[in-house]
Amino acid sequence: MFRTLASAIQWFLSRVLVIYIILFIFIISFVDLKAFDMRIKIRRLNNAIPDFSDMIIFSKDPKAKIEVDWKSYQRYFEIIMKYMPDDLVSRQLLGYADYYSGQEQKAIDLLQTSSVLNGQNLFWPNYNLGIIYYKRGMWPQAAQCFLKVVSSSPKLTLFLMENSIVYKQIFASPYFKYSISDEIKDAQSEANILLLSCLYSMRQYDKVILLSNLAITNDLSYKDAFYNYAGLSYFAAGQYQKAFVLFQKSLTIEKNDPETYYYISGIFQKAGQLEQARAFLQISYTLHQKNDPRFPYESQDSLRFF
Amino acid sequence: MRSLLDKYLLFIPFILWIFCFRYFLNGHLPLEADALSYAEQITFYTTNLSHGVYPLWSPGWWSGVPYDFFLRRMGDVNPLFSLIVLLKWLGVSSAMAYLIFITMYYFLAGWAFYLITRLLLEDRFYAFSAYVIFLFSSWGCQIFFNYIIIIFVPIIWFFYFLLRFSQEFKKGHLLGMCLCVGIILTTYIPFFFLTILTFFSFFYAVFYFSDLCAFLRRGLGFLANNKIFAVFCIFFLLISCVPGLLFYKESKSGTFVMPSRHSGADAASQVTVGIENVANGDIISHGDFDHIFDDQANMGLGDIYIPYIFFLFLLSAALGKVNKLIFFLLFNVLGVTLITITSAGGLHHFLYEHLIIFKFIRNIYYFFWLAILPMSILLAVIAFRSLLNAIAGSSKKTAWMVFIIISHLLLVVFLCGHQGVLGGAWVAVAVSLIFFLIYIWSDKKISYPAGFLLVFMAVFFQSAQLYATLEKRTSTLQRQVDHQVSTTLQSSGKMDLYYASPWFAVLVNYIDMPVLNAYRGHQFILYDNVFPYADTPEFFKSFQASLSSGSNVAYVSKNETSDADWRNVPDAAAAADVDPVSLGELSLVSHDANTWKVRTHLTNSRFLVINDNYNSDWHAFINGHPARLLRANVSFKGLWVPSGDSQIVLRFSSPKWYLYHFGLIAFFAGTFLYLLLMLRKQRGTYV
Repeated sequence: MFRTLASAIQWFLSRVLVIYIILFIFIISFVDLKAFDMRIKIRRLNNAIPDFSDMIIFSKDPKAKIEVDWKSYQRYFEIIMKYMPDDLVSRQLLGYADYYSGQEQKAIDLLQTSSVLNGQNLFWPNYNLGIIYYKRGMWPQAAQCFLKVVSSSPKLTLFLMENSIVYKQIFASPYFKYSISDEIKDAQSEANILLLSCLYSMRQYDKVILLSNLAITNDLSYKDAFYNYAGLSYFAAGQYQKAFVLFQKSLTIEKNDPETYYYISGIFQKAGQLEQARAFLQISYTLHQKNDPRFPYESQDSLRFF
Repeated sequence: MRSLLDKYLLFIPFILWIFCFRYFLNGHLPLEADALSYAEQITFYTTNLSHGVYPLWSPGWWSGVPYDFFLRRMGDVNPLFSLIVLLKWLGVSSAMAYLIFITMYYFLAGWAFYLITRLLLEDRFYAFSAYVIFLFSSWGCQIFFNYIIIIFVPIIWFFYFLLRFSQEFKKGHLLGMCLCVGIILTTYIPFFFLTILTFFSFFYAVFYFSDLCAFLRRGLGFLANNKIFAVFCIFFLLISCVPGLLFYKESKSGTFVMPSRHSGADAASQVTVGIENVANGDIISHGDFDHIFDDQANMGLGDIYIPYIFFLFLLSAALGKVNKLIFFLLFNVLGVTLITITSAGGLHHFLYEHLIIFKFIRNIYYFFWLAILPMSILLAVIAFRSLLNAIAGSSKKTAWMVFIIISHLLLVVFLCGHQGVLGGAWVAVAVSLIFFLIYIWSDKKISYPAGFLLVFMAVFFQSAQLYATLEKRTSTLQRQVDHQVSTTLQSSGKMDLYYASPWFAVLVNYIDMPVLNAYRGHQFILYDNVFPYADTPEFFKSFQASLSSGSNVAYVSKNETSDADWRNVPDAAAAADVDPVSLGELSLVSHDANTWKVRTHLTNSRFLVINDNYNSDWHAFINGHPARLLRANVSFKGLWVPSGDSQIVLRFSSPKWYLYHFGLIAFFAGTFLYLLLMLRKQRGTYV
């Protein structure tokens, strides 16, 4: 028995097979497998870093660049997700890239799972979710998301962005020439407008008036839009006098929004002052013809990551 | 038929290899990464040589740098560079001449690999198998991607000559070894070779101690019997060390800097590399293994690919008899691998700390191409032979057949678990299986030429398909890279300088690239005012403003000049004369790598700045008399030119150095011709 075993071992050791065993012993003895694995991960991540310029340009103006290679961004964010599944920033950015590469449901899932950190609502995932729901006409869901956005902490958003390696790579691009705080403020204003738009579509005028007043007192951009929504709600509720005052206030801030003139025209029409109504309608029509891309504010409904 | 195939055994696969890479070889696809830089430098060198100029200065590299660095990179004394000169002389374009050269050079590598395998295994079939696996592995891609073919050819031929010498002890083989080592020593990175040789010698001593003793005994006897020849070989090797040693001295002198390479290094030589920088150049960081079994359609030019028959040989050979040669190769491979993985293994760190040569090796992953891959292919083919011998010595045909089928199925199962494996892989497996089955069921002899053809088909079909996808991918990638490069060039970011004059590096650090580039657009500038400056951040701010506005003030270093060199002309024009050629004040008579000859016609004495970097080895002459050359505008050449007509000559280095370099080329070329004559005389069976 012993002799058979010995000869079997001897036979075994005399075969090329033995080099695999040597190889195995070599690896476990001399190679720091943990360091090896870590370095492979780092290298794969480094190799996958895309050129963020297209994504930045697209985010700023989705009409400026039609062909964006979303695959390179998806690949990069997916690799990060593989190694760091808890990284919410990458998850949210993957959601962004997935949405624009046509994978809407996957994007929604990713944004939903990246929208809360330790009980705190995060700004960008909720903003983007809100936009998707808004585009689908799902007003209650969109309103809920935008409500989370307006109640989220801008400081936390800024902190997360400034401390994220991916965002650092984005900021390092020569195409990133923006102030993050300004962009967050701009997106907050947008979120407020879209929230008011959702509530208005849901005919919750009292909430629109309440939130408009709140937004007007806050340090936000596009205050004319908030006056407009408050005015619209009074208009819908038949309180034309209050609506007129608010539309006038809106005009003192922004004179080129055709919608404001349109509704003032409506008030004059209701009051039977047809001459003024016609004059305001004419101005509204002329402004419409100019196709100012800023209006209506609700049309700026694209996903953002900064 | 058989004699015809014999004759073309090496050429037919090589011609098919050329077919696979035709898009690179006809210039349709560009060279990438380091290969491009080396092609430019070798072309520059050979173009100058063909005009009788030995370039010691490179005017096109970041406004001029000493050329010795590039000469050491390429190994300027390599006699085979004369092929490029010859091709150019025959009217072939520079780019095509270079491509023909590297193609031929790659063939030389393959040829040496074939000869080594034949010497070791004494069988044409196994040598052919090793040759085609090597030829169609992605080693071939490397010649379009980096420069290591330049050092690989002398390395592999050295080992061929070493093997021949150990068998026959003939002068020609010893001279061949010396010539190969000489060529390697004249490059600035002989350390790859030295490391491989050290491992080789160590494991040879371990596994073949008695053979080593016998070799040394016979070798010393040979040298004792051929004293004059031995002295010549030693002299040749000593002379070969001179360029490298001079370059090492220069690298410590501060005449050039290598910021991106040298960062983190603790040695004075600019060529040394920081430990972190080395880790970035190891095999793990490069990740070239990523596409061996996955996503092959996206394989890059630098990625590793080995025809799958290599793995089939290794898998199937598991039951073949192991021998000393297999262990010897295996331990060499493992030893070199341990260095190549740097921080993931402890050996490299130890060597880096204690052996200075490891501070000079940056792209440590080159060991894979120089040693690990060739030795692994050799190992696989030896194991393959061992398997065929085991089958031949056994009567259990069915058992072997089952084993071979299982080993092939194992690879199939393994490949099924990966995504993006191209169809050619399955063809390779099928053809390999057919080969083995024929071998088992025939008379256990490799039929000729069917056996050769089957091995070749298994290698070729897979490789041809893979390289076809590589061609498509590379052209797409090139467009993306072009876009990125143009984007980067338009930005005002700081350039990552690999090799530059120290003063130019200072300029790049302090002056915005658009301003600097606009300034460098003027070859000659005439100034009336010359002010001294001290190296302070404030100065560079005002200097940038001065460059932007084109003011009529040139700056010279306060420490390197005296009052006599400075001048303030209050009523001078506000702007410097940036185009003296069109105003008829200056004409360029001639210019080559080492010389500027200009003629001036000035109404009053003015300060001429030539926007080519200053170096203390440049010498100026005005009307035949030595003149004082100053470092002007931080990095460039400047000198005072008298009024009236003047003939100005600037010359780099001195005649003795040109003589030395031409002498060295002639010495190596002469030795090479002598070697060819000797080999012709003692022509053996294998060449």
